Amino acid sequence: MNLSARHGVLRSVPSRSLLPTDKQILETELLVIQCRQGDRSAFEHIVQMWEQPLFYYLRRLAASEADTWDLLQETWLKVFRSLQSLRDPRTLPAFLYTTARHAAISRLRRRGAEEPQNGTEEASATDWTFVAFDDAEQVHHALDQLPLLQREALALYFLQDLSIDEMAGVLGVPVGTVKSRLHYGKQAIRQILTNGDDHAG
Amino acid sequence: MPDEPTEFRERLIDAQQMTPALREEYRKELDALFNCRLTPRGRALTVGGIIVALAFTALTVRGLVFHHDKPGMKLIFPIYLACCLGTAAWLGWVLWQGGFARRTSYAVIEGIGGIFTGTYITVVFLRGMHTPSDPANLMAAIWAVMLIVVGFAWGTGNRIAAAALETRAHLLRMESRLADLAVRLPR
Repeated sequence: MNLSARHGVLRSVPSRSLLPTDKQILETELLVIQCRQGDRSAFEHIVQMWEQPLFYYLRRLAASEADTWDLLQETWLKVFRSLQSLRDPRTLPAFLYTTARHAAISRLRRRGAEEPQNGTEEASATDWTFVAFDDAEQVHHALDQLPLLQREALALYFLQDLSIDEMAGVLGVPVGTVKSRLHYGKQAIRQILTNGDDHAG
Repeated sequence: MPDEPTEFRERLIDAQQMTPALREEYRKELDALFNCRLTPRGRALTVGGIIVALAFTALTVRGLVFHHDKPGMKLIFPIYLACCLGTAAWLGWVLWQGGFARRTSYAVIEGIGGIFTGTYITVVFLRGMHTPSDPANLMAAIWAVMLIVVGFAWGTGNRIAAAALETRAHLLRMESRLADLAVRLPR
């Protein structure tokens, strides 16, 4: 059987420009298995691989940087404890983001702050595939000006670790809603960037 | 020209500011998680464990002195003595190091527990053979058989799970090499 065909990510998002290769998928699964065998260095390797993208994602949800580090630590602790129960090791990226999101939402809830509420947005027919922006740094700053739901979806999208199906799973919403959030989020980012350029000009 | 997606991702992540001091603190705490560094509570528990192990050592020595003439005692007490001293020494080493590795710890606990249980079962059967009419020996033998069954089931389950993981890991290594080869070969 073709290795690519066996992996849902490759099947479901053919248009994405950055996809995990067969080798990366296999290595991820191997790392999970080595963790289950009690190999400490495998877990450290997972942390090294995912620390920065998870930090980036969590920073979009947390109130402060200190909170983000706390949440990241909490995420690793939960992952460390529950990695044994991960049914399909190939879903590790989605598992990591879901765990991180749950940790962030719990904290938001405890503090009574705004938390992502899953609404029933209409799916947009507009193309939602990867559209490169010119300047990553500008996009980074623009992201923080977006509403939480769009910010969260776009952060996951730009980090390119998950397919749209997996993003829907992590966010707990239908695929159409994810596409809709991405569509409106990108529109908003373009608007922010255009306004910025106008002001600069 | 717009960024390539991979490059865009890296630059986006790099754009996120991080405070070195906060990151260092996080790293330290994560390191403690990996290396199972002893917290003050863990240190107190370890000291308590050493005291209990030494107390059992003393009781075992006492048993060896006063009850060595009973059947099986010359076998059971020296082995229990070794187990207790081994536990105390291991806990002392953990305290000295200030932490422990989970994998090694499980191996030590499994080893000491296995020797302890094995000795108990052997002695129970030896005593049972020596005085078969004693109802206490019969009950002890029943407990020993149950212990064997449970231990066997647990051990077999663990071995099967470990073998399955090892096989899967080997297969993945092979598949990974094949995938690597497929990329390198000219189409």
